[in-house]
Amino acid sequence: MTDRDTDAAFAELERTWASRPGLIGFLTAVNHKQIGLRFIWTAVVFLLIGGVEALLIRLQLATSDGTVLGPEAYNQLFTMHGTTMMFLFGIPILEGLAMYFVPLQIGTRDLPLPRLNAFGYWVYLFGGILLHWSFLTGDVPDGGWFAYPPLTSTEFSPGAGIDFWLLGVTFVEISGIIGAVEIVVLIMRFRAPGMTLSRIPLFSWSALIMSGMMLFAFPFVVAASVLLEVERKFGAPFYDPSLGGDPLLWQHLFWIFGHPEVYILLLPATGIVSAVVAAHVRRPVVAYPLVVASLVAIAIASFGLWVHHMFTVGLPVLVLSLFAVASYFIAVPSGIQVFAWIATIWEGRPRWGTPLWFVIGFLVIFVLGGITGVMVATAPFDHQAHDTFFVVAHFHYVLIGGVVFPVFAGLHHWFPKMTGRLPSESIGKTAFWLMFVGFNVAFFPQHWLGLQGMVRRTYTYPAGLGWEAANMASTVGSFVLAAGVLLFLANLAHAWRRGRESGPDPWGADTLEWAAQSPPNNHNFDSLPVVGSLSPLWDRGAHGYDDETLESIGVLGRPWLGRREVLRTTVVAADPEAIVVLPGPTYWPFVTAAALTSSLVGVLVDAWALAGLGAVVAVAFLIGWATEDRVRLTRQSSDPSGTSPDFLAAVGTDEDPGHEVSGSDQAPALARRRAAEHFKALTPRGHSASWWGVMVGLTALATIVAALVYAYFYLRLGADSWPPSRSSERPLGIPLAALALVVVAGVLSMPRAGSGLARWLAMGLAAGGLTLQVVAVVGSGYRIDANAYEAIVIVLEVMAASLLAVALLVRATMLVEAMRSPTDPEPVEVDIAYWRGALVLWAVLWAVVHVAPRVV
Amino acid sequence: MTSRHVRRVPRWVIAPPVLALAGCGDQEPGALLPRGSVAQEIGGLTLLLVVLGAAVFVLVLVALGMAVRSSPLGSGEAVATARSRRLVLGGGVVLPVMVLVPLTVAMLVSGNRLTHRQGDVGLTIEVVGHQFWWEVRYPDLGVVTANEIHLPVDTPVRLLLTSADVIHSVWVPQLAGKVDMIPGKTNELRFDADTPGVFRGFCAEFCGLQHGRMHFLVIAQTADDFEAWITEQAEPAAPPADETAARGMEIFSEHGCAACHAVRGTDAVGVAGPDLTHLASRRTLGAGTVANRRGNLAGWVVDPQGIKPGNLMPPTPLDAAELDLLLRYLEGLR
Repeated sequence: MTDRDTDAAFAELERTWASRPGLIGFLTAVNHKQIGLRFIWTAVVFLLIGGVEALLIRLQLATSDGTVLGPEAYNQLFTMHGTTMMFLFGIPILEGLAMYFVPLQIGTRDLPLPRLNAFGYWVYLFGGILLHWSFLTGDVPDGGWFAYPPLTSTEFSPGAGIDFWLLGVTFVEISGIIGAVEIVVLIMRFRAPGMTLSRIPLFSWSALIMSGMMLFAFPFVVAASVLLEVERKFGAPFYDPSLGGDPLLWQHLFWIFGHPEVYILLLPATGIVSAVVAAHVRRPVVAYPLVVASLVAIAIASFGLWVHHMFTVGLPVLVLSLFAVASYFIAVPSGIQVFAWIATIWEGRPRWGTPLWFVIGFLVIFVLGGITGVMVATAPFDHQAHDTFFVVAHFHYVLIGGVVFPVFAGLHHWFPKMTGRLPSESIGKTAFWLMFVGFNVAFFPQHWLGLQGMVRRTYTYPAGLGWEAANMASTVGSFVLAAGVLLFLANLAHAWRRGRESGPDPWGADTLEWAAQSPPNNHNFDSLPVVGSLSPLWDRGAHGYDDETLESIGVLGRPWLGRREVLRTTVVAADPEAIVVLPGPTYWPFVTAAALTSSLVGVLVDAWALAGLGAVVAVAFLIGWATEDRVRLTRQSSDPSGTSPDFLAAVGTDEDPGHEVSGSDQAPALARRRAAEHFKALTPRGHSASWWGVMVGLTALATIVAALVYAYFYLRLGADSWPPSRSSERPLGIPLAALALVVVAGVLSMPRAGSGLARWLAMGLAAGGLTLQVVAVVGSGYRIDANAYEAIVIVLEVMAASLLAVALLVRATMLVEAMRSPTDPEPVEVDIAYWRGALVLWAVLWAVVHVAPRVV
Repeated sequence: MTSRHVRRVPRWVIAPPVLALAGCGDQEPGALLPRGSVAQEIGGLTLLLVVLGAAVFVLVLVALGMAVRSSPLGSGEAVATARSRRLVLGGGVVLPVMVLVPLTVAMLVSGNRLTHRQGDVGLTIEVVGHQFWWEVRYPDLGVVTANEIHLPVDTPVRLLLTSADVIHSVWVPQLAGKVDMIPGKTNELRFDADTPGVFRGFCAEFCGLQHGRMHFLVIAQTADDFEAWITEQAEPAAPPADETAARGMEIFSEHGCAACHAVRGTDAVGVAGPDLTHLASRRTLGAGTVANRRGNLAGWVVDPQGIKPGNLMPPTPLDAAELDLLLRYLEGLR
């Protein structure tokens, strides 16, 4: 290939991966960098809103008997502050950074389900706007960020504020789950050839683990919120003790989500720290396997600690001790990470720029937050500290020290990559010192205030308790902290236009994103790199890489028929498996999110016609979305196998032995050789990205089912008799018939692909089963407001019926799709995967509803 | 303050440096000045946690400082790797285990002592949380009051806690940790006070608009004083002392006060608000919001929403003369 050919090829690649211009481009873009950047700046806007709320709170508390805010405004502001920072700033900015940088770090060109990614952004944006719309209607949520019933029931919170909260938060959580599905599939299946599990950069590891945790944590709060909203709208007494409910059910469901949530924020932040430390002390983070193992250990352990948020609800001492000791355990993997960074700094050659200062600030603050974490995990001490400003101080040490400081380190570190410009170091360091000093002045005195008796969420305190000075210090500190945050952001804003040009790799960093241009072009890499080391950019000379550009030895260097091609690789070894064609710009994500939002607004204002219409339109749009892809992608292709002819040639150049430099580490050369062998014999195999998306999404769905089943058994254990009255007993005849039909429908789908006819037949049977199920439920005479038993059974039945109805829709759509493009395996795969998952979950729910009351 | 307390919980050790900054007096209601065996037990554990925590923090800072100051030159990769491994395993595994194992033992021992200590009960008191006040009942002694818990010193007390509406949480930092009041559930809190005194208590679980003004007082008394108080409180309300107070009593019933309030020994048997049988003997109004003085009482009757917006008591429209008569009556409810 001549240079001119190469230039032409790169120009065409750039065109192929371009978004459309103007407003249309804004609404239709799917590129991971655009979407990721939108997540980041939207989250920053919410950070500023949440910050203003915090300052108002501190102004009110600056003096005893403060008069800045009334109790109503105060309660609204602390609720919105917590909600905004946790749901609208923390998670989205970390997801945004992951969406932007993980594809670059692992050497691919986009997220595997780009439209879903765009959809996730719109859902987040609309959910955030909906939450803040409450300021315009005056019904601002005021139940606290953990919204405990019965305070949040209609009896004690009759306004629409809690509905705004429940629906807005649920929407944002769904966006989080969507992003998580995306990132899991991305990192498991779309890494550059040769990037084995042990060569995944730590930030990407942390993004993978964060996403995995979100799949299991977020469904619990979605389930809890749906139950509470059903209670508020239809009088179902899930949390009402007078009708068999239990307010503690909410606390369990919320904290099964809420505790992992803290680590969902913390783990990717530690990933950022690892990335920044390595780049800025110019040495890979030591003890890489231990650090990864620590991430995994924290992720798993965090799901077993939720009760330490409930030490004062009156549980047995033994339970408290168990959860306390389990909470202690987290100190070990956290300590390993902290000392791995310290050791890396020790052995490295630090460059004392702004990012590294933020890391040092993070270490100091976060370690103190961890120590107070051990304190509050100690159950007897927590009986004093719980729900006081001690805890407020503790979690701000963890969340500001442990998350905001690393995120700011990351923003400064990656800013040149996103914009091609360097922020000012002197302003960055000034901002750091303002934030560091301001933070400690604001939050350290709160430890003492808490032990002195100052409970959290109090809008005022009387004079004479000796709390004035510490509170005033805290308020002054919070304003200094805010000044630092503003200065930091102003520095970035200024550099965006005026900053010094950075070039592709201003820090001399180690991971692949620094091999791309700054800002990266639309297609990220001119050809996809092949990876032979954990620090590919540092090891390129020593390990046999081309000295000049990493890309020149890569693959997929030439576009083919204007298709957006990426490489799918195997889970462990990252061996090439298939070339995947990704969809380009499209309206479907935007309009679908808009339709869903209108449905949500319908629920909010009790306009049920609007709610129903929005839902139906959204489903129609989803069908349009599912079919758009196939039409465009397969009709353009004359070659159904999907292998572009140029890509063998691209790999072929790599076989030139002249490129190989002698060295002890032959891994990259081997990886490339192995990649080349694979390419030569490459016929698409393995499952499509959509199949993986369905499977990972099913994990989240299964977790929602698990949360509802948990709720069922929790209520059952608290009940004297189950069902509570004989009138709730149901005949088994029709449900058994429904079960039989669905089981046969499942069995008919057992063969791998299943013949078209068998799948149509299975559809008919399942539709019959669904009809019988609906008949049985309607015939049972259950009322949702009768008692907790009937209410939870109705919810389980509706969940099961929805799973089955969606399975029917998916199957119908995919069968039609399969007829339109018979050579494409994807529709069949997606259909079979969802069908099986949905039917299994349906059967589980059937067993809970019909078997559980008879045997336990 | 007796010397025993100084020995058990040296304040200067426990309190962080900001204590000085806040100009502490003996009035502060904090967990750092325990006045009962439960709070002292937790205070001892707190001391241990603070000392261990501070030691760990200093160790990490020293390691970090050395890392920042270290020179990478002069040691080969093998030395660096071995040193890193020592640091990571030493700091990440050995250090936490060395701290957490004894801490676990201390916690279990402490928890065990707290449970063990709670064997016998000298006095049972029922406390019901309301938005935004506390109903206090002595079931064995026939006493009902509000926002004040009287108890004899050196007597193990058991509080039976529940709620009439949303979740609240009882907390008296100087006497014990907090326990939630959950509707549909009865929780227990056991503790004692070892010094006569007045200790401020708080609602610790966010319970709505006036969560911030839902305080109460625990009044620990000598056995004799407590006995006297109980005797007085068990009596029905004193009949109006004079003509004006009798007229005040009529105003009380004419204006519907009795719909929510009970005055034992009269026709007033409402249960939505605090029992007023011995209102005049209490120290505060509105659950610790203002001192129980004539001016405040007048303000509370006429405009309770001005003093504590969002509480459930409606304003009572009275002219000055009527108000004066009503106050005479209420002030007589000793």
